[in-house]
Amino acid sequence: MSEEEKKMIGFKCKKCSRINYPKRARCLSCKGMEFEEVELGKECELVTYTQVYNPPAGYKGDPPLMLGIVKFPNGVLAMGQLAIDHPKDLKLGVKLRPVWGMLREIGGKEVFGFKFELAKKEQTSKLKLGGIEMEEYRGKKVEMEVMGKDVNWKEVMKPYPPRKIVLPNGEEMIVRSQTKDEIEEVVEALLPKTVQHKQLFDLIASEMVTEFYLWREGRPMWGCPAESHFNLVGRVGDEIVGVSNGALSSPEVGNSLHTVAIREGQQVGAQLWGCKLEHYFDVLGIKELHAAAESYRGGTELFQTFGFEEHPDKVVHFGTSPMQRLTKRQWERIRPGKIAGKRI
Amino acid sequence: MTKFARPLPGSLMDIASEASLKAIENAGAGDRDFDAVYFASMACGEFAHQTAAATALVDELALIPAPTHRIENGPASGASAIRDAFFGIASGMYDLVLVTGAEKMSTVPGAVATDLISTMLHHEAEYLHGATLPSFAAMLTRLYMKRYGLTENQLAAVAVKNHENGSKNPYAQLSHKKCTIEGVKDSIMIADPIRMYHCCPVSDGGASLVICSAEKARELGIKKPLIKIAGLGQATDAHTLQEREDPAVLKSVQLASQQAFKMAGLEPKDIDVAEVHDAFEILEIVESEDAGFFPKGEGGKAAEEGKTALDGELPINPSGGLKSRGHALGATGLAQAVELVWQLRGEAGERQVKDAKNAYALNFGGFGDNSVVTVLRRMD
Repeated sequence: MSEEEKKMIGFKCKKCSRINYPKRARCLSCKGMEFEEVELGKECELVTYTQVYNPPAGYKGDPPLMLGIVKFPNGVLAMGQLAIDHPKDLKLGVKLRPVWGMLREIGGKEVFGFKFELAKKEQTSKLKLGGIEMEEYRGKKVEMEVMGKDVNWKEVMKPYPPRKIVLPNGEEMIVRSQTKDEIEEVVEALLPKTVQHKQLFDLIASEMVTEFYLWREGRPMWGCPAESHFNLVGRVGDEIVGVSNGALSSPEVGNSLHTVAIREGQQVGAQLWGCKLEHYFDVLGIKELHAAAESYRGGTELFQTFGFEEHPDKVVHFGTSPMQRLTKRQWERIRPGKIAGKRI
Repeated sequence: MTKFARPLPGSLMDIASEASLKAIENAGAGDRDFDAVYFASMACGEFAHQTAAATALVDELALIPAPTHRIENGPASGASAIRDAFFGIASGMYDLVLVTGAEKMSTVPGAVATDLISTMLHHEAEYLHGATLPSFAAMLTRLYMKRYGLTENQLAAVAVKNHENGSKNPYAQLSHKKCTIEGVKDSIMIADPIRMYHCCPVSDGGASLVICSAEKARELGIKKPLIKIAGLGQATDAHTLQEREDPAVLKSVQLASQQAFKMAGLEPKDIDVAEVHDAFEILEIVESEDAGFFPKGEGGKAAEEGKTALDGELPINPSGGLKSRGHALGATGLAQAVELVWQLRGEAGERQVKDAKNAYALNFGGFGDNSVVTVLRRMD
């Protein structure tokens, strides 16, 4: 049987007619042991769902992992992955259909099963980059404009519209763009981190200090012109609790630099990351973001949970993790779970 | 019990023996031989690369030749071990037993821990699809919100209350962290609509109880008020969430609670303090209803109105619950019981519930498909 012809099968009890899915040795309702195989149906509807931002080890798809419980016309409920590309299509009651595919890896082996995709698939909006659909574009070698010399950066660069995020302890963090006038204050706040010798805080904070001074001096860095440099500052009252900087190598390509939580244990770093991605994709309008991580945790966990893919042909400074790339399509998938708080 | 933490220094056996020795000391049984030792751990083979850990514990504690084995019932291993110890004594076989639970989860990265914990779900219908425990909490929350109109503020109120309680518990993993309603609502997303501050942490920890017959307790000459295991209840439900009679109702909690209340000769209104299984804050709400403490659909409102706070009509999770005390899987059921023993003896310090005489504990062995209830009572 070809994969397109695979049908989702339920097990109808010959004694009481309950359709069991999955199969058990005995019927859940009447302990009957004889079953007739019946097709669950070609269409079903979504009863409840979630987007999992911390998928289990072994899940190889792009995050978030979308899961849902669906209901078939015969009343049978089943849980499975939702092969839905865009969060806007995730709605209670939406019509879906089963489709066979790879679910995850367990012990290095691929596991297959039924997932559910939109019954009307053409609803999904496809993203385009330079006239090429993302599906074709992904994995293709693309020449990047490195220095952005012909770009009018004044038109490209815009300030981040400030956002208020309440930290778990109830304090309000305001995130906004930093001006060059604030460089010394930000460096002052970062200095203690340059001598915090754990999780590479010392290295990352020192790099950031260097980048702020390169920005002040109007010098390019990491292949990006000085005009494209920006920094987001998170403050609680007047206190600087975190910083996150970046730059662009062209109006379409961002080069994520660093994020440091000066206040630890209140999710400041994770929130600033969300704000930075929002700034890159939604405010500055880039099509893809390049990033590499200095710390082990960043290289292993962070990139996985955002759905970065390895960049095939870009070299990383300081020999850190392989260069990673986040596409606009993937950003749109994870956006609902990565931006908290309110615009102010 | 030990403090819960991530990581807690020391090996699985260090943690288990520290908890055990504290309980033995507390019972004045330092020089005694035990008739049996029950060791609860959900996944010590997977997390700590140690099997036959019960034998190792008896050896560590010099309790040879006491019979021992490990009890594994998912995250309800602890409550199941208490239950089995009770049966051992009730049968007349044993007079004095030690029950210890421990887990060392910090040995693996977060995504691996998530995967190992997910193995408790239905293998073919859930686990293979990548389902995780937070994903089930999320799907339950969505169903429950739609049906009962639970608000985000009500859900957050449970976390705020549990962190407040945990801040008064020196054994709590997150005793240094309090949170606010707005802070919970802005915390990072784990599985939409479940956020970080709706979830319990990953924990290392151990907890232990000495359980004996009434006669043995007199012989030991214990000066503290004795705590009786007055009621036990346990029930299962369809393994797959969607095949239950009503996925938004925890029927196994209803059945287990009814059994335990019947055995204790009590009703839900007689309970003075409760520890429930809030691996996710939605669970505390649904459990508090299905246990019979609040009408269906009103658990969230009860939490928001402070009815479950330390000074409320029924204080729930004075320890901080799984949310703040932490959730060291096999140790959790024992940590709940230890907290309730302290509460019933009046030894809970700043988080003491006034005049507590009857206490209720609920421990989950899966996502609502295996519920173990223990009712404890102070003997006057």
